[in-house]
Amino acid sequence: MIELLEVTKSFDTQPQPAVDHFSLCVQSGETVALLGSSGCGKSTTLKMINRLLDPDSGKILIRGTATTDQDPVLLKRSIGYVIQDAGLFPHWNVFKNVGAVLKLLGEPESVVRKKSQQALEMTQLDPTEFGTRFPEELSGGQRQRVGVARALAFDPDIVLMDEPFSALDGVVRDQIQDLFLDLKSRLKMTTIFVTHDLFEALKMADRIAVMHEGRLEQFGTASELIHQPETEFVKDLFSKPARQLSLFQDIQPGK
Amino acid sequence: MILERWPEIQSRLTEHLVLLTLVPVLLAILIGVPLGILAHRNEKSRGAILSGVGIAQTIPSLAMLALLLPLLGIGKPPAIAALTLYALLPITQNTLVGLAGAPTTTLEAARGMGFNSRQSLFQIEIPLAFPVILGGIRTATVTCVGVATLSTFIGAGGLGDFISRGLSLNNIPLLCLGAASAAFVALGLDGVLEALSHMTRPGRKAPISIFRKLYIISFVLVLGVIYFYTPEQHRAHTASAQSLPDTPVIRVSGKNFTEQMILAEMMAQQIERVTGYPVERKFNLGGTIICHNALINGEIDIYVEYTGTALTAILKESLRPEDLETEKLLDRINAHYSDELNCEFLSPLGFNNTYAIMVKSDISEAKEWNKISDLKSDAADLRAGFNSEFSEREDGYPGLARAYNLKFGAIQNLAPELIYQAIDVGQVDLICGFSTDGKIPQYDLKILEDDQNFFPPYEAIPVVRQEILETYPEIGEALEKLNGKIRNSDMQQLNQRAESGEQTIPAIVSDFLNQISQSGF
Repeated sequence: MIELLEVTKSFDTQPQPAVDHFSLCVQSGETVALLGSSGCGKSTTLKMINRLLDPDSGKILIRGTATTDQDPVLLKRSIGYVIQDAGLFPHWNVFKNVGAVLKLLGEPESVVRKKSQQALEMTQLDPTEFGTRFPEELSGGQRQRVGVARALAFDPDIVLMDEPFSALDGVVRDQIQDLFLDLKSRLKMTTIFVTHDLFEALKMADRIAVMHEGRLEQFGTASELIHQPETEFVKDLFSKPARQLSLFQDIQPGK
Repeated sequence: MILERWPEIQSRLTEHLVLLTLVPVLLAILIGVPLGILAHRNEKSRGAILSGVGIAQTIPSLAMLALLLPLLGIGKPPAIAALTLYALLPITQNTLVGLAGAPTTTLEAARGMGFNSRQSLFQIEIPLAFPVILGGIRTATVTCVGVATLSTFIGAGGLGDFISRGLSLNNIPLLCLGAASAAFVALGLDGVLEALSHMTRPGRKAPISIFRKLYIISFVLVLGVIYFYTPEQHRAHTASAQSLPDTPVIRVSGKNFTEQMILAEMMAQQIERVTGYPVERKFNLGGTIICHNALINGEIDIYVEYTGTALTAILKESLRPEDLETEKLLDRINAHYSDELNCEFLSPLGFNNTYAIMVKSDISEAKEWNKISDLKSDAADLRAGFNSEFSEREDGYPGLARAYNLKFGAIQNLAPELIYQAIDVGQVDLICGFSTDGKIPQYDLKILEDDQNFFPPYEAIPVVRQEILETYPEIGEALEKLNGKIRNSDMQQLNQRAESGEQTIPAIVSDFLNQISQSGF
């Protein structure tokens, strides 16, 4: 379980807080999307969970303990982390990239090797074909598969993903979203991911937290957000696709 | 010429490659890379670090060597220190640029995955920056090879010795030998480092092209040949070159112009002949003050100084009328040298290398010019060729004009190398030079007598550390045998022969010593 309580974070560069008294409770095994346009504070929120940033006020509890009471480096090593463009290490081959956290955790070489291979297989990359390639020798989709494999290789119970698939084009993005849903149903890790794509949120998340100007607008299932929007912002956000869809429906056959 | 100098080429190359390039570059890496990391991680220190290493780079090479002289003396340590300072900027700067160039997503991923700051630095940031850092090392190395050729002026050796000797002796092949060897070292090291930076590029290593492989192999091969091949003529010599223990090694030195090289070699040979002590030749130091400091710091034991120079340039005293007698001047100088500097001037070698006003011999005969005063009536019509220093110095033309109450019609400032040609082709009517210049007999010139005794005497005299004279009195005795043996005309001829480049200086000196010993010491 991950719990955010009244979390606030400001930056020197802007007057209003990037994240403003934000609270959220994520259940174990649940997948939650932080949805909002750029600058709404969703990435900042995510980075505070694994302590890439620390909040100015408020509290974050992970596995029942406040993150500020946990060693920031060890905390990060217990959480899978996937970012946009994968952020692979260009001087290491795929095996070394995938095994990086296992190495940091001090696992013996044989375990590192075995778990890296398994992780690559999970993400549908043939270890013998791809293991010794360097990131520059992979396509964008393959790179992000390696990014996912790297985040899952050490069996984390929590995975954080920051705009994980938004740099990929449509077909590839669809495939890797399906892959993630498949892994998710097997591994049951708690996942929080950041996206600005409404359809990605609808497709992948159990519940969606809609953020606007640093504040939580509404947190709920897709059905709740569509049928019982609590704010104008949420109502507008979720009615727009329906209006666009009506453009299709208005087109009569034969014309 | 190359085979003859083979052992020297080997040792100069080693000095240049190892002591004057690899050592300073390694030191600069040890200092510069941590500085670059500090500048990258600590924004407050960045400005100070960059301007600190930048200032070192802006000091001209020779000035840097001169600045380090009082701190570190002469020889290799100050040269290595100066070269390290030069190598510092490219290495520090490239370390900083390389670290700053790491992709932000990569760094964020590393941090988010739980690399601590040190692990991120050593496992991610430095490996990614490595090719750029290596680029800095490459720039530093090539700069060092070039700048190191100047360190010969403080007696640090290296390939610059060939260049500066070639320049002083007007020996073009020798100059080219030094310049070509330095270029060879620079290009070779550049090629090796380029291949290295290729190999350390992140990601898949592209194979090294056959051209680059051949380039490196030929560099290594040539180096190998230079080091492992010994020409026939040097083989026996190398085997017996081991010197005996417990004998003093006398360090003989001289300044960086032809006459000084001849005199230094002459003292060296004289000591070897008469006493049998081994001599270390530390020739070619970059000027009066460098020689003098080296002597009083005990880094050299002997060199030849001129009385006028010792009085004015070293002791900073002015000439008095009674100083025109060499004996009295010498007493005055020695009073300072033995009491304050623990050094001693021996007896004059016999010639006086003073300023000299000269004209063409045929004209002097026609016009009956023998003394400087004789020029007075024609002075307004005469064109004089002086070097700019002589035109300005109080003991040069301004003083001369007052002492003789004459003023030449035109003064042309000429570079010292061009002054003799100018009078030869008739562009000027009289010139100022030094009385022992080898070009005086070569161009058939007549020195006009300084009948007003305006120019101070510049008697050439060996100056020796007292410690040496007391411990090894035979050294002093050997050098005293040269007293009065070198007349002005002898010195002119020796200079002329050395500058013609037909014989090496040791051969010329050996001839001369044979000749005077036959005529009886």
